[in-house]
Amino acid sequence: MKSKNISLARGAVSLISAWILIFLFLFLANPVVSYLSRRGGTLSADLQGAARELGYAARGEYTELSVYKDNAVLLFRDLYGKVTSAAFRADPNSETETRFDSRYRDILYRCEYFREDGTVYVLANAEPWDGSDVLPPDFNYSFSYVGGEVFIERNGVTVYESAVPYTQPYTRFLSYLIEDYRRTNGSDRISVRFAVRERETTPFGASGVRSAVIGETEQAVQQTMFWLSVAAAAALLFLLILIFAIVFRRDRKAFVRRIGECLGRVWFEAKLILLVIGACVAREFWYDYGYDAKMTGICIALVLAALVVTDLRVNRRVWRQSLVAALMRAVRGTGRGFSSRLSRTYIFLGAALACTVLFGALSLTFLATRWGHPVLLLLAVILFAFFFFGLLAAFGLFLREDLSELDELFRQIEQLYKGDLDAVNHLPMQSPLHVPAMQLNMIRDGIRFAVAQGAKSERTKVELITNVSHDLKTPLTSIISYVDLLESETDLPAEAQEYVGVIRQKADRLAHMVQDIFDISKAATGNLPLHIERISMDKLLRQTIAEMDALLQDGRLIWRVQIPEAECMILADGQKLYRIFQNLIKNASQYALTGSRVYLSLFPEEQKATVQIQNVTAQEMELDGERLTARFVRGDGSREGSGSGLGLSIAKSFTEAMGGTFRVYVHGNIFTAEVAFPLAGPKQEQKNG
Amino acid sequence: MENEGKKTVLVVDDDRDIVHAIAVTLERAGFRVLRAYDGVEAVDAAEKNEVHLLIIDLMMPRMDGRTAIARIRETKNLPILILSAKSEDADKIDGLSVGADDYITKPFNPAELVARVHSHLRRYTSLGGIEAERKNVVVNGRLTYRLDERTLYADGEPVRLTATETKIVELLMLNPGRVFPAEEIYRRVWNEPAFSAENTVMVHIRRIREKIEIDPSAPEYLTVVWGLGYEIKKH
Repeated sequence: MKSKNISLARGAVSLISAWILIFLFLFLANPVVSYLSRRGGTLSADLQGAARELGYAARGEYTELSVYKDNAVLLFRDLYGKVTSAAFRADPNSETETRFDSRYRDILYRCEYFREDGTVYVLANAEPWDGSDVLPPDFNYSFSYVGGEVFIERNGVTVYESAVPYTQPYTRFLSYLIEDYRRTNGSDRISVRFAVRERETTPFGASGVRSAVIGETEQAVQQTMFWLSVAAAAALLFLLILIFAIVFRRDRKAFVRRIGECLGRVWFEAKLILLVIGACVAREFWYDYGYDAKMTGICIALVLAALVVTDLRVNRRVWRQSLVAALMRAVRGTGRGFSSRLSRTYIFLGAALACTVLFGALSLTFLATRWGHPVLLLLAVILFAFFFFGLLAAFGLFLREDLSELDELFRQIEQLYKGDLDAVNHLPMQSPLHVPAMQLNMIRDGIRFAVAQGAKSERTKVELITNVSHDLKTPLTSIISYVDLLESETDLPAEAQEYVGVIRQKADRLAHMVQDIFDISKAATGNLPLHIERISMDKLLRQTIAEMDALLQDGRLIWRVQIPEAECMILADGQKLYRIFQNLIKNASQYALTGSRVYLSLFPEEQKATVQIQNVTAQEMELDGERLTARFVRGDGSREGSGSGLGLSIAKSFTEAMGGTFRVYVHGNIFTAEVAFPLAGPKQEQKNG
Repeated sequence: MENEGKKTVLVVDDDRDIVHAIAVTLERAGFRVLRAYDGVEAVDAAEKNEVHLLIIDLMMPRMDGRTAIARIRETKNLPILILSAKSEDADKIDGLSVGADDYITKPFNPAELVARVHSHLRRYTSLGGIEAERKNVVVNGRLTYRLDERTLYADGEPVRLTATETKIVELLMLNPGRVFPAEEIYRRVWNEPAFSAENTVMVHIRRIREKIEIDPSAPEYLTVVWGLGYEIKKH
């Protein structure tokens, strides 16, 4: 963490250094260029001169410095101005000696003016100095302007020496001299000499003569030295910066990357706006006067460009982190439900559409009012229309896609409802309905599995029942056979014969029951072999009654049979239907109250034919219709008698296996069994069946 | 019956008790009985002895009844009765297609079994001569109807029928497999328009059945076609 911070800091330093270098380069370019454009001599001569001056300064040879010389000349000029102006103003005929006051006691002067009439006007101090080259004691400076030449000497060493056409650097002073020279018509007309005593304080003020010449020179040298050291320090800093920029190159890259990451977190739109503002500022600077302002503009532009490049390089798709993208994320982000996902999509699309309309209208108005060029306007309208209808089409497409997915789901549900368990949907992952669609598919799998499982268990049940009934039949065969043999034994005691009779009876009943169980289980599991034909129900009923005539005529019950002549054609298996009626009649004859009436009627109706058998029960019924048709249930609740308890159950399962309806009603003592079959249509059905 | 010597019946079942019971029953009825307990033994016994009739179970170890029947049928022509616990029509058809003459489901009535054995043996031994002898003879399985005599023979034995019953039998025997509604039978036999025909016809049908069927409660020839009419089944 710490090292990372250090690295970041180094990177920052490096980056800032690099930029300082760039700025420095830009700003330094100005003086260099201006110097180069202005200079007269060669660069090497300039450099040599500068080096020489620096050498003098370093050795303390100030008098050799051009600065010193300039200062001396300046002083001389000053003095000269004072003296000559006094000389010219003075009465030329009188010799004035003390024009300078005591302030000038360190300065001795002697000005000789040769008049045209041959007289010489002399202006000098009261101090005795003849103006010769020998200076009075203590005085060490001598300035002279004699015969048009300037001569400056200090301590006997020539400081400055020049003819009048003096070029450097004080043209104004020069112009004095030239003026005077011209006025006097030749250099010989005036000669001025000064002797100056150097002291710490002078009448000239705090600087004094020393300051005026040496002091100022020293000062200048010191200043130069100071600035030179500043420049050296700057150069050192420059070098340091350069080193930083180079050494921390890697850290700088990391730092730049970090900056890029930070930029990546800023919205694209905000960056765009800031960039435009920055560009405007840079442009303002550029159009401002002055080199530095222009350079500032360039610097701003460069920094902006660098930021843009960094952003583009680090966050390749810069537009992803944008206000629009953030909005979209916000829109997509939460709520996984179908309705929320769908509504979000359409709200977003609708908003985009509204924005387009608004923006389009605004820009069109703007265009129409500002640049009313028809072609431009037309182009704008086309563009606007393009966007508008594009969005509208997108809206429609999205809607259609989503709705079609919904349709697919509904189709699957319908198929499943109709029993097609192979129906699956293939909605794509990105569909808002993907999750419920997958769940529906899984529900389908579950149902299919359950159905297969159910069918399997049903098959197992049927097989079990079949096997059990077969296994029961083998021992039954033996029992019946041996009972038969026993019955034919003539020498059995009477009781034994009676017992054998009972065994025979029960064995027969058992045989019937086994067959009944077998049939009923087959019917209940839909495995009953059926031979469906177009048959006449009324005829079948008559045949049944005729077949069972013996039972009906036994006199225990009074049978009331009512079968209308109308033909009732139905689709059924005759053999099975006979067994149904047989069972019902047997049931009535067995459980009806002795001497009571049994009503057996056929009711042909519009759509169906109903057969009803109604009787008064001998025993009180403890069970309702539903329970009576259950297997092995007998109305009297006992297990006596010859019935297997399967009669009604068989009738019910056979009827239902053939597509009929079987009902049993109990109202007090009245027991009603009802078998109804839908009437078959006209004849052609027979040919098909 | 009188010209019938002691016929040999081969009884084959893997259940020894059943074989024994059948054997005793048949012996009491005057037959010689051979016993076998699987298909191999059955084939063996049939080859070594003169067997007049075969009663065989289908599900047996070593060699099942179907194979045994096929083997025996290769060399011998004799009535074969299948004895099986499988009671569905499909099973019966399957059994008969193997080459059996009859199919008896377990549990069976011993008396019925004996009746069937008698029936098949009689037909097997006596019917050959009558067949195709004259044109006016209708043969249908156990039943033979002689038009010239107006007599019905069951297993070669003449059946005593009343005049009405004979008319019904003649009508049905001449059109075996055709279903006659009760009204039509009534009209053609009584020459009267049908009125409550069903009951009347049924009474006669039942009487005829009692005379010609082995088990009148489970008729094989004169049957009711439920919801349509009556027929004599083609055998």
